[in-house]
Amino acid sequence: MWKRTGAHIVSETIEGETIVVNLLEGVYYSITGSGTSLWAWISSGIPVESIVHSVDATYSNVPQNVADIVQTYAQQLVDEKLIEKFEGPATQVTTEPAPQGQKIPFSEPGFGKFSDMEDVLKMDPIHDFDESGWPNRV
Amino acid sequence: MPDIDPKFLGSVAVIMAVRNGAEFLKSSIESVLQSKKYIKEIIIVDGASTDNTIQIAQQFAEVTIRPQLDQGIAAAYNQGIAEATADLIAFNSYDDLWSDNKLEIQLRLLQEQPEVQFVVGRAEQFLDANTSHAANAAALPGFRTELMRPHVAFIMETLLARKTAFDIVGRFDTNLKTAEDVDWFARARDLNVPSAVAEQTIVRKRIHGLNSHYAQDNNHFLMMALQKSIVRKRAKSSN
Repeated sequence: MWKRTGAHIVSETIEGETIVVNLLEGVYYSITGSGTSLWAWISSGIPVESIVHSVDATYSNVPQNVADIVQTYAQQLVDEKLIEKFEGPATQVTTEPAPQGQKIPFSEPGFGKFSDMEDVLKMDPIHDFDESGWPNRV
Repeated sequence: MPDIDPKFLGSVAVIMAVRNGAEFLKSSIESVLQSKKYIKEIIIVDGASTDNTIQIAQQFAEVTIRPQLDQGIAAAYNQGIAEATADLIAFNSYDDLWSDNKLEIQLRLLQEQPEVQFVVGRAEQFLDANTSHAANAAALPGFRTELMRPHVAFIMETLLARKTAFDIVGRFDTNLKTAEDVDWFARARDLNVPSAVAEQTIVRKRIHGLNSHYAQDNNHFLMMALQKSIVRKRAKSSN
């Protein structure tokens, strides 16, 4: 199972794509397709088996090797230091199957990395906060 | 080092968006006025301050005070830009300090590189000596000591831009409550607008009790700004 590497990894889904930002490194990512769901599930400590069930409940035309797709995608997120493995109680989730005909067609999880704003984001303290306040690490 | 072209004397409008800035405003304006010979006007866009902000600002003959017409920091900056009569625009916050040679350093870069539309520089944070909150913040684990050292800072306080830059890039996005500066710099990058970075430390950002906390939705506007940049990049690569 995996979790975010820290509070410096923030994300939000806007107009169907998930933006993930590493506030300390100043790098940001675009996650598209089934990746928006996979990111949410993987980074929430949900085990692979449960993620596979959730994918089947949400999407149609799911490839047979979806478990491998999840693992590969998770490894990509680990390589980018967005998530890390952890041992501990799993997050339990039950995804109700979408009604027949209303499942979303499965699409490859997309992953784009952008580092063009590194010098703008990395040292900008205004977006870093926690309970102790700026300019502390989140 | 060649002299600064006399055309740059009295060529800069300094915009300050202020709301209840009485505690530090005087020292901030005084730091700006170290570059007085290059300054045409200081425009304070006042966000209905209820403290002595206006009275303090009125002490300075160089300062023009304008009541803010629309809500939000982006609108305040845009108002200042619209009202500025100078060809060059700089910004400062009520609580931050310019170095004594900030404008000279940046104007020299604009003189040497006439294609450059805007210049930023290095900044460093400092603890306000009179605020116990600042000392408390510094004592907390995770305090970002790297921000206390000079670092390249794409922030409003280091920005000196030709007024034409705001025609090319556009004004600040009033849909963004925060991260309006990140959005502007992202738009400038996506348009390949030429810029320069002064190597010197030209701004000192004050850490005090009043700037310690930010709303949770700061990241929302940041991500909105970055998503817009991604959409622009995608459109550009598909053309």
